[in-house]
Amino acid sequence: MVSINIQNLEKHYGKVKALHGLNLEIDDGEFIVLVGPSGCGKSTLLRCVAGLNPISGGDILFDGTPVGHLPPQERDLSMVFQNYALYPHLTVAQNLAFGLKVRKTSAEEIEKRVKWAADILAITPYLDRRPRALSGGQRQRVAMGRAMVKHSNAFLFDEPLSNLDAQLRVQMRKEIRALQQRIGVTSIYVTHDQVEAMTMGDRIVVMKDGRIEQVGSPAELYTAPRTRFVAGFIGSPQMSFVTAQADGHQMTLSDGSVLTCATAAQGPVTLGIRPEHFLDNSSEANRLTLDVTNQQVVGTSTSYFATLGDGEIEVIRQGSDTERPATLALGIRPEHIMVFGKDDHRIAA
Amino acid sequence: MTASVQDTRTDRLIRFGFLAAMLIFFALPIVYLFSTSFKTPDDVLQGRLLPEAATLKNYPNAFAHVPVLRMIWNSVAVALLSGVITLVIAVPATYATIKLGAFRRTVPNITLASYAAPPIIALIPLFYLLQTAQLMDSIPGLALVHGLMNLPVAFWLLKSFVSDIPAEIDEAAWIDGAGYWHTLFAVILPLIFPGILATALICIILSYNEFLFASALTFSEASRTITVGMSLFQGERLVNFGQMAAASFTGMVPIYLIAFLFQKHLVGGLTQGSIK
Amino acid sequence: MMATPPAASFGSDRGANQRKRAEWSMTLPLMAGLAIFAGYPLVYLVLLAFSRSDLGQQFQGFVGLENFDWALSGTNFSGSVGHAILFALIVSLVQLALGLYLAVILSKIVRGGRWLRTIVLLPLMTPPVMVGIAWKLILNPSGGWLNGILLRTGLIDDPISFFGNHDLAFPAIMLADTWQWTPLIVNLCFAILQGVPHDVEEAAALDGAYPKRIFWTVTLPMIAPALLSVYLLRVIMALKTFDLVYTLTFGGPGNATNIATFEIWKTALREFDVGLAAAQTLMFAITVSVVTLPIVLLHNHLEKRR
Repeated sequence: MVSINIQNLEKHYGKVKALHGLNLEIDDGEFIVLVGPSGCGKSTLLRCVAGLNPISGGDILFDGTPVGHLPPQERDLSMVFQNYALYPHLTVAQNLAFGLKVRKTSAEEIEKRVKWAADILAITPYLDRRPRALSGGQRQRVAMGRAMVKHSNAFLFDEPLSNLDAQLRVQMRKEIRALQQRIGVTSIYVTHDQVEAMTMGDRIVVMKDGRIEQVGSPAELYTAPRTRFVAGFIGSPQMSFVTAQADGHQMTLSDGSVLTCATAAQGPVTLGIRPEHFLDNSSEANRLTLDVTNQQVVGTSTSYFATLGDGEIEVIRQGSDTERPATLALGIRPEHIMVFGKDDHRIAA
Repeated sequence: MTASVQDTRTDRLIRFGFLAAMLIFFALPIVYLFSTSFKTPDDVLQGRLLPEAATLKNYPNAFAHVPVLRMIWNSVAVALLSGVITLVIAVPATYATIKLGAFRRTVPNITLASYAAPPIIALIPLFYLLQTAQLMDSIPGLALVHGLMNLPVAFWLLKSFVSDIPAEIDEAAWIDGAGYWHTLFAVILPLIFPGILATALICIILSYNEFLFASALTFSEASRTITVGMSLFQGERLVNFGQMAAASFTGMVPIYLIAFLFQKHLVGGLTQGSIK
Repeated sequence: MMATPPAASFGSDRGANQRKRAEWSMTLPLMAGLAIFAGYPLVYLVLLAFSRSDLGQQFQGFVGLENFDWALSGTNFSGSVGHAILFALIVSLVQLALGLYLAVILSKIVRGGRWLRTIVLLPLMTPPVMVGIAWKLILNPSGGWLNGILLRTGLIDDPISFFGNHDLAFPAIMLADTWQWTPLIVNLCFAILQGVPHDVEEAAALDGAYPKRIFWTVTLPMIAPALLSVYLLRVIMALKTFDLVYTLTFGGPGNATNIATFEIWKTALREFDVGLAAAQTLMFAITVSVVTLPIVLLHNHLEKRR
């Protein structure tokens, strides 16, 4: 278990820069999630930590010791791949033992650890089977087991649940997190699914175009996103955005309506409001009556779409509503309206 | 392709006829060779498919006339040894080129270019090389030449098998601490075993059947191969075709045995190698 | 904050070094093997070609372009190259057509695979020398099977010496070569046909096209680049033919079946003029590149059009 320090990490592919001088400090035992859209560099960063991608600049330190120049064989890490990457010609037990045998661990120690991992992951009945005889979920557990037995410095996860169906994914998320907490190993988890990130991470790293947009706990990212990108990326359903002209606390939308915000600003701004913050009209400020343009029922909740100013907003309500109201009466608390300046940075209250 | 609805009877008849004709065409020379090996010299002149008065004498006579069995043994030894040489060199090189990206542009091009070159190019220089290295007229010497000769073929056959293994498996092994050679032996080799087998079989067959280098680089009974030996039958004034057929057929037996036993692997190797 | 060492520098980057070491150690034997089998001969040949050398004593003196000149003007070399090219282009085309048709037929057969495929494989695996002997037996004027049948059915009065006949010798060798190599083409075409996506053909069938039409207008264009690769491969291999000519005709009658490889072999190992043979070899190698280049270009053109 180590702390991982990423300093000024650069990665080029020829002329293309994949990572721009990244800095990140990960504590010993922390479960940190790298999240972002495709091509943001999260997998590239993970592979740099693993040693699978050589780095072009900067360094990576484990407990203060630089490891950027070491091959993947010598970094003492464990990695769980999206496609599991189990050795097809070996049994589950042999898959688990492989890394230990390379290190010339004694046979008794290998047996002890394999049994320990198999018990925790409930894969003992499969120890003599080959990967092709297992289901996706079982294979994923074996991949976890292979990672666990080595007692390595850190665990790296590269979108390990992407190939599983939705239900299994939710279950495996809980299992992985519980396992990590039990073992206490430093973990870096890559996913493109922000729900996964929010439910699993101690801290989340939101990345875009090879840069880190923001690092923080799920709560921080939710309530205090640094940029418009982070605000729009985190939270499901996605935040709604409309443009406005700010004059102090008064925001004038393109259709003339005025909203009062807790934040003050001047000039052209973008306002962001989360679907769950469009409340019923009763006693709130910022009362609006909007025409409903679309409606979607998703299980236990219903989303309504309406036009506000120059943007489309989404309103979410609990319960499945089969009727289609013509209008919605809404209210928004001033502190729930986020204001983003011309540089897409959020203006603090 | 699935059988289509609009297959006319004429079409099917033509196809059946063509297939039958081709099968007869492919089988005929071998059948005729086999049957001739049981013919007396008079029978041979008849030119009929089957012998009138079959005789078994051609076989022992041929073996006494020319050291058939010894030459077959030489061919087998050279073929097996050269197969080993080819694989030992080609397998790591193919892995390094495909999976590690070593010289990924130059190696395929150079091997293709050396394959396109007619072997005659290498004949004279290798003649002198073997002489200097005192490997002339020896089984190891010829095996070395065959081993090198088949490197391009082995590379192109192995290429597709190695490419089939996902990069993640190598990466998982590296993260598990396995060095590059260790990964090759512990993980890759077991997974491409069918490919290695197919490649080995094809290289062994190519070496066994080879004539040009064998004839120029071996001359004594100790190392002469069966293909060279057979061509010696030709030079004689009065050729006993029955004996020649007997010797020929015996010489073909080891190869045909491989065809029957490993047919699945051979066809698989050809199929794999051609798709990519 | 400690100074960070540059991560990718050769000296201190153990990771990169380890990998480079593995890459080199794995590919070095192959490079060495190719250097011995192709590189060194090429250099040696160039040196020989410009010298007067015979088999026993090489490099007796520098003679400039004399060998090349003599090869073209004083020997049968140019004729033999012409024969070789003609042979290669024709047999490859014939075998491609036969092999493709056979592959199409085999791809429609569901049962009886193993024996069928094994029979088809046998000619391919027969040592070329034995192929020669077997065909000599079949086409022999005295006691050959073909002559036997032709005589008995009264189609001819005297036996035909196929390999001794000036006009028939070359086609006879082509026949033996076709017997040997069509199976390879069959297997390669079979694999190509297996790789064709069925949905395009099925769409055409739904549009009302008959199987023959589908084949010619839909399937064939799709596999054309792959077929051209097969043709190119076969041409390259056919240009290397030696064993059949050695066994069946020894280049005769006269020079009717003299192909480049045989002519070079004769010059080197019968006439012992190694310098001349080297010059011939180089010129032949260049000719091979020239002949195969248009095919390669056509292949790339077809690939791009897809």
